[in-house]
Amino acid sequence: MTSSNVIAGYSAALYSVASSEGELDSVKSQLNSVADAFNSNEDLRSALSDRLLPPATRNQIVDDLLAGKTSDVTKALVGMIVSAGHGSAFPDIVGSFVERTASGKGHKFATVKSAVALSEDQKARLAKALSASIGSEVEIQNVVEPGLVGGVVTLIGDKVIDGSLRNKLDKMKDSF
Amino acid sequence: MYVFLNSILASGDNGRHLAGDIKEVYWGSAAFFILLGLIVWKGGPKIKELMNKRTESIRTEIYDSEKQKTEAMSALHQSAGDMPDLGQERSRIRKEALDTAKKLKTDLGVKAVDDAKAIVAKGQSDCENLRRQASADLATELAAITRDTTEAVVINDIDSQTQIDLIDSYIDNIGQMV
Repeated sequence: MTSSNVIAGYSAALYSVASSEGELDSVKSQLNSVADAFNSNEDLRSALSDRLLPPATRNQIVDDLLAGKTSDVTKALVGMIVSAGHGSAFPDIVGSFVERTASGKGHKFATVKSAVALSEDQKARLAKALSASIGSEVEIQNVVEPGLVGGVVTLIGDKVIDGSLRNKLDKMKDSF
Repeated sequence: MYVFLNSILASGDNGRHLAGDIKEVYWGSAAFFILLGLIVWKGGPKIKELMNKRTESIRTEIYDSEKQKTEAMSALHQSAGDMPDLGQERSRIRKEALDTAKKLKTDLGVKAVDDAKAIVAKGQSDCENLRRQASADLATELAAITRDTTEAVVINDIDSQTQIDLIDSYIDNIGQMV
């Protein structure tokens, strides 16, 4: 388990590098895509999180995976996290980075958990709906959690908007 | 006196008991009586006083003895008088013991009945609690089976289109949920 200090440290490093390179938005978008792939692909997740593999091998996997699909900056940042042995915390680091970029723009940040990955269209519609509801721009980070069975759970600030099937099943259990 | 003197003076060697001059007898007798008089005159009151004291002492002792005798008789009468009281006391104690035993017997009987009632009530309560617990356990078990079955059915029935529909429904209703 990677500590919150490590996650905060790496997200700050990502933000600093992406800002200095002037690629904040593109890096954020590409990191989100990589995180989605990481969450939805068990083999990829296992390979990038396996500390028994040499760092060079893990870095080579990142190079092969992202070659031609992301910018060099994004590829280098992902390689840095994975080769340092924090692959298992990659989605959390990306989430923290997205939250940092959102607050840097004065936007709200929401973590959206779902049983299956949201499509880009669904993300955009959800961000728009949330922005309209709270009166502020919202940036979202989708995290896949199969344990939710179905539906979505949104965490924004100290609010939890639970529309998951897991929650409905638990309520049904309590009602028996 | 003459006869006396003659008897004294008789039967000595000279036919008398006392030798010597008759004047010695007279003077001796006079001295004797003088001495006797002195003794009676000086010692008589003392002797009388001693006698009186002795008499008084004896009288006091007699009085004390009489007093002790009276007290002893009084104590004897008192003891004799107390004898009937002892009998009454024995009867009273016996009656009290009998009453206490009777009351104790009654109390124990009542307590035994109360205890029996309490045991019966507790048994009934325990039975009722066990029945309720068994019902609750059965209901819990049935609920667990039902919810597990329901959950399994829901999970099996959910397909990718359902997932999309659930997410779309969530997005459409997020405004009311915030």
